[in-house]
Amino acid sequence: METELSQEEKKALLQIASPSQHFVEGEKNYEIVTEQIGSMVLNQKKHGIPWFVAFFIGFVLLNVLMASVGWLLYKGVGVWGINIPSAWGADIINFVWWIGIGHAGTLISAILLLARQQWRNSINRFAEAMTLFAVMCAGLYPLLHTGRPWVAYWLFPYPNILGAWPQFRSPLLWDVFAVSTYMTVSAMFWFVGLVPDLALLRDRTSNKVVRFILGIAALGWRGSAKHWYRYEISYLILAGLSAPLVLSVHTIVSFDFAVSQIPGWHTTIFPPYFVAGAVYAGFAMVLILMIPIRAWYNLKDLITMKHIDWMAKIMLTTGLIVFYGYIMENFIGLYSGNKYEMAIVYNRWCGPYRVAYWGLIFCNGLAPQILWFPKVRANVKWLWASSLVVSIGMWLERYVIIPVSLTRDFLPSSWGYYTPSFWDWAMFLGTIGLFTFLIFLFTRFLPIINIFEVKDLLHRERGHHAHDGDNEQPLEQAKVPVLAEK
Amino acid sequence: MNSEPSLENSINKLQRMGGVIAVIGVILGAVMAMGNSDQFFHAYLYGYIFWVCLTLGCLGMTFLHHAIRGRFGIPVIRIFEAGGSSVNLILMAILFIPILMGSSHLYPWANADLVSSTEALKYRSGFMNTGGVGLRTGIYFAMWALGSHLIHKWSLDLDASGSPQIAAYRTSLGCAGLVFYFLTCSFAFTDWVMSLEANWYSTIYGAWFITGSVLLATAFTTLLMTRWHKHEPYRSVIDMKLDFTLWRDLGNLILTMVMFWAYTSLSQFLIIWSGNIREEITFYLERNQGAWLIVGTFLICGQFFFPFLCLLSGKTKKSPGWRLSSLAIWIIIMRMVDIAWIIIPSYSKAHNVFSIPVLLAYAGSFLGIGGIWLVTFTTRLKSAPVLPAYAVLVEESLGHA
Repeated sequence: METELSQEEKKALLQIASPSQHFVEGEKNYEIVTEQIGSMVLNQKKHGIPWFVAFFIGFVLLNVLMASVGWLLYKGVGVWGINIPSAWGADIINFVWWIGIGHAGTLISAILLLARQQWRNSINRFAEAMTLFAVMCAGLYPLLHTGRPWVAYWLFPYPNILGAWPQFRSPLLWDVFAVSTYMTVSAMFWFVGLVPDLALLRDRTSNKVVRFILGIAALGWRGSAKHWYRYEISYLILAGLSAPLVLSVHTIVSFDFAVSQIPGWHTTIFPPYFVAGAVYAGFAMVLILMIPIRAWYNLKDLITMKHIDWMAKIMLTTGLIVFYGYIMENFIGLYSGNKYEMAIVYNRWCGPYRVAYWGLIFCNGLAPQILWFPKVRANVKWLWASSLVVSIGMWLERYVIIPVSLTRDFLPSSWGYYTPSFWDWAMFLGTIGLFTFLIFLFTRFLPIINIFEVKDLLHRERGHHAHDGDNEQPLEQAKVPVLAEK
Repeated sequence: MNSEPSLENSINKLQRMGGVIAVIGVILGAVMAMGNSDQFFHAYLYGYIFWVCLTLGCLGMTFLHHAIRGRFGIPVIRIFEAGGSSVNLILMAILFIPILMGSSHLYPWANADLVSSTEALKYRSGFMNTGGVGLRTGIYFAMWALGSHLIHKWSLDLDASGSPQIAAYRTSLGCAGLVFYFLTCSFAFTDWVMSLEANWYSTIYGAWFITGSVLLATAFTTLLMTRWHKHEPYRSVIDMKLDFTLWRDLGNLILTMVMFWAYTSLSQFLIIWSGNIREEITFYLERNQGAWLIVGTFLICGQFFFPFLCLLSGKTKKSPGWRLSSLAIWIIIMRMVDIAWIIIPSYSKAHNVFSIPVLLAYAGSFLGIGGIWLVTFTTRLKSAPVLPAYAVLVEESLGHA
């Protein structure tokens, strides 16, 4: 059926079909860009009802998390639905789901930087923040699953009178190092990228307290050639360090399962398919958040339909890799002739968790195929809905991997059924709350788009026209660090 | 008068060389394998798999370039198109017939005694049999040849007309072709190579083999470009406009493939080693002892550490000098060794592969098939302009920048 496109949809379709490589739209110069992004921090009145609603939801759910963690610490991990044979459940499902979501941030900030993809400049800051908050949510689960999080430092190798020493051959220990490294490097990368913008805001604010705080955070940045040189070098080094982390973290997470002998876990495609799945889920989450935020804060000129389109294409590509992984799992499972491998294939298709399995195939494999159509990619509502479906699908994927294999192991006498408890769901909702809470705090108190990198992009796209209008405000301009000054 | 040889002369020279190599290879292979059909088919399969990997690697890169329309691919796309051309694919389909005819010498699933005594083979017998493999291979080659033909045709039509409609067609086919390519190559390599082991299976196998094939194709193309870039029409476009980025892009592409090959290899080994399940470890048990252990160790250093360290340096990728061309040759040699390490140990019990006559039989098969491949490749390369006309777009964009 032919449907009439709205003016906005027509414009979006034209933008994504255009061969032009412009990623900043509208009448823009450095001053306008500074004003547009900087005012989100310096003009607190800019945050309207949508911000308060989202923040409030985040805050309420954060309290649910507090209650869940409090109850868990009081009663023990028995409040979760885990029990033999399924000693891992929603806790590990949610850990893998959250850690995967963070990967889009690192891919956008580090890998796209090294690949000289300038379009990342408008979206990297937000995606990096998302990485940090997602890793925080992820880290909670294994920490609490240890049962005694107050002695979690035992996970690290240190000389002690207990004679306890971590098992270095276990990928669970590799996870400790991988995730903590990921968190540290991501945080440094994010902060280093923020320094020039913090200095800009420091120079723009009229509030003394805010200036004092921003002054400390900006590390005495003055925008001199030496500062810029050191900044570029350190940023590139951090990008070099972060890029392998995109692969290594989720590869090690996949080893948590794959090095075992459990059918459905012990499969060699897991490392690349987990990494692709992580990027897939990460881009879905970026789109879920960015589509409404760009509309609420009128950032459509900076986060253009071209950005949205390219993110959708990356989501489709990684989704196809994930789907390839499902096909190979089934094909080789049936090809192997190994009765345990074939049993897990049958169990997924027709067993007690079949609804989850076919839901996963629909959400991750079939539904995202609509992204092949430019009309869908040009329609933010459809795209938002697709991203939500992918997020659900990626949660289902981990659900299918973990309890389905654990509850149907080699001995039928030990089979069981896993059901997440009330507290499992509460904690999951709680971490969504923590994530939302932090994202909207970030939106309010730090520049969500990298101001100087957008200016750099503007300079590359428009050359000296980007300076138009600057002469009208010479004093203001003097405070604005621009990349051209390097 | 310009005394430098033209590009056409260089391509003709390569074609003549291919013809000579083919004759030498066929004679050598036939003499060395005479009276020993096992040896003949084993050597034949090795030569075939190497060249089919190059063909499919070129086809994959062709689809990739047309899908993403990257700038790096413009000077080299015709080489990829010629390597993965419908002619080469049809040639490889025809050359598969001897493998089907000699399947009982090659594959455990074609050996009736083994099938009746091995549970996994008995179970797979409905799927893994000469008719089934032949039919599937025929379908794969027909589809690949069709895809290759259409994309090459549209690429030439785009040169002639500059029509955005055709540009859109080739991009769509490139995207769909990539999806289809990944699936079919994975199934094909399962039939052709993975099934050499009776019990072994690995879900990453397709991705692992495709990575190796694309690495081989990229190294092969890089080597040709380092030899030919001084000729027109390459000279004016590459040296004047794309010099630095082309070599850096090709080097980075090889670096990425080298890293991904190492990643998939390590993942596969680590997971199988950790699981230590009887059926799965057979593949590595055969290869982790005797001379094959040394070959495997050499591969880790030669196909990962050495090119990785070389390509981290900007010097290697800065110009088409001896560093980049030597590295491309090195990668091609490493692919030869790697494919040997994957295939030949499956026959270790049949004969001692490290004896001179057996090695000569393998060399004969490799050269024989390779020579024919080079002849068809160069014929196809000469049939169209080596640079697509839409390269003008790049010149324009660089000019504006």
